[in-house]
Amino acid sequence: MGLIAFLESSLVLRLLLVAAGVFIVASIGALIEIYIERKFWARIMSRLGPTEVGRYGTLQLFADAIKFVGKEDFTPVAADVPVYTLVPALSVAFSFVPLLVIPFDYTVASLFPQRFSPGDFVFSNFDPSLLVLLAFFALQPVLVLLGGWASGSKYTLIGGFRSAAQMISYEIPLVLSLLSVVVLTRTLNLQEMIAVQSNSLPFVLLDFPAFLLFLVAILAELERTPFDLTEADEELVSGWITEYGGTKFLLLYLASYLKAFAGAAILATLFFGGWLGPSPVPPLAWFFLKTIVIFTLFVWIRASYARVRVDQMLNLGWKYLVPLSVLWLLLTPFAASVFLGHGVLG
Amino acid sequence: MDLTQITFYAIAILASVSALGVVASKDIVRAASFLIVALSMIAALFALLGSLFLSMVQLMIYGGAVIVVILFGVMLTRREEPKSRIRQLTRSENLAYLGFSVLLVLTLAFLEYRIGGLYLRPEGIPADSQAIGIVMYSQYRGVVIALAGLVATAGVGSIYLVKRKRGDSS
Repeated sequence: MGLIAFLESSLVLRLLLVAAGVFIVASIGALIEIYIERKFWARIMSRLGPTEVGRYGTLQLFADAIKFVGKEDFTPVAADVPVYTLVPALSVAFSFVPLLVIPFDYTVASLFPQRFSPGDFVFSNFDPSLLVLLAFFALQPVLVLLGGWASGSKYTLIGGFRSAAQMISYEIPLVLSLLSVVVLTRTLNLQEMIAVQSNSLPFVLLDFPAFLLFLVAILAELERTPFDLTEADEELVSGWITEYGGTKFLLLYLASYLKAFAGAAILATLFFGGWLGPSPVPPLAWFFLKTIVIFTLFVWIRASYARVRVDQMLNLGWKYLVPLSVLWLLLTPFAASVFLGHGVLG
Repeated sequence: MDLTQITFYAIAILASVSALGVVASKDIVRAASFLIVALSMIAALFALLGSLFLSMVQLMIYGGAVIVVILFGVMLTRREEPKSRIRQLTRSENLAYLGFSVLLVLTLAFLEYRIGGLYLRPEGIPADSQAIGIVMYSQYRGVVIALAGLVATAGVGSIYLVKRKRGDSS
């Protein structure tokens, strides 16, 4: 294979190949997510969802995408043009980076064990890969604030404030509940975390309080119902993205689903053993399936719960989630010693 | 010049230009945007030096949290925009700061030129996160405990400050 040898010769080429592979996986994931969001949500509400375009409405997404691209690309008069234009592009980029450290590349490379050696074609296997993920999640509120401000309208600015306040508040329990898993696995490398789970019970059972705390915190971080009060499409217009239209709105929409895919994938990695599963089904399929099932759970929660108010959201974050996650983090070493004693933790 | 050096100079130039942008831009949110770029470039430099751990911590704390606090601060406190940024920058105390920083940079450059090895990572300093943790919690445990005490005090203090007084309905 001349092509493989050519690719192996350069680190940059290999990195580009891996990035392209992960982008394809993530985009397919995002498309499936949007379809589930519409169809499954509609079924819960006794509606049909999209039915007209394509069989079972599967092509509706493409029709919508074409519609958005064909719309006029406008900029509000009061907008700060460079920042306003940069925010959607950066939003997609910052949502995509966390997906690069989630070990999708390992599962793709393991489909071709003879061609791609995991040592050369897997880039997600490095020491603080969890920190990279957290760092890029931590940059999201900045984009939200800048986007809200740069649109030049007071409503988007207020929406940006609400959004950033929510993200900042829930980042703390998010990180603290992740640290509980770090204590159990003694590593910051996501691949090693999955390796630890291969000879122990899945962490959703061992570390159940952390799973619950993480689930609530990630729903708030992704701005999904019941924490979608920053968008609140029935009450406000659309929060900080009100003034974005056409292609820019499409980019922000894609970014939100890429972020949701990353959130579901990290949940699958940390608590459901990532790609682990019975062997005839390839690891990629297991990983993808787990991620999609977790996203379906997000949609189910969206369909079942009412939106919380701002004060309820802040109370829940600061008065309950933060103290509980600190408490569970303090208790985790004791739990770990019990698990090690009983041989359920590898 | 190899790829690492080219990357280093590109990052360094971008960091310097955006640092100039922070002080030169009239709009306060623009200045904050430049600050994000400058701080992210510092994170990139840490990564280039082989400490991804420090790089990501820099990005998480300075790129994410500190910038949001600054943005919240400046957006909520609307102030008059200065008429001329240059006139404001050339006030005597600012010129003194500028002179002092130039002096500092020149001193460092001189030391590097005469003695050398100022910017090399000393041998035996760990780079991966587990080793950093072991050093922090064995060699520097006093400092870590002192900092933890400081953070805990600040946390309790902030709760006390925002606590609603009895009978205060606002």
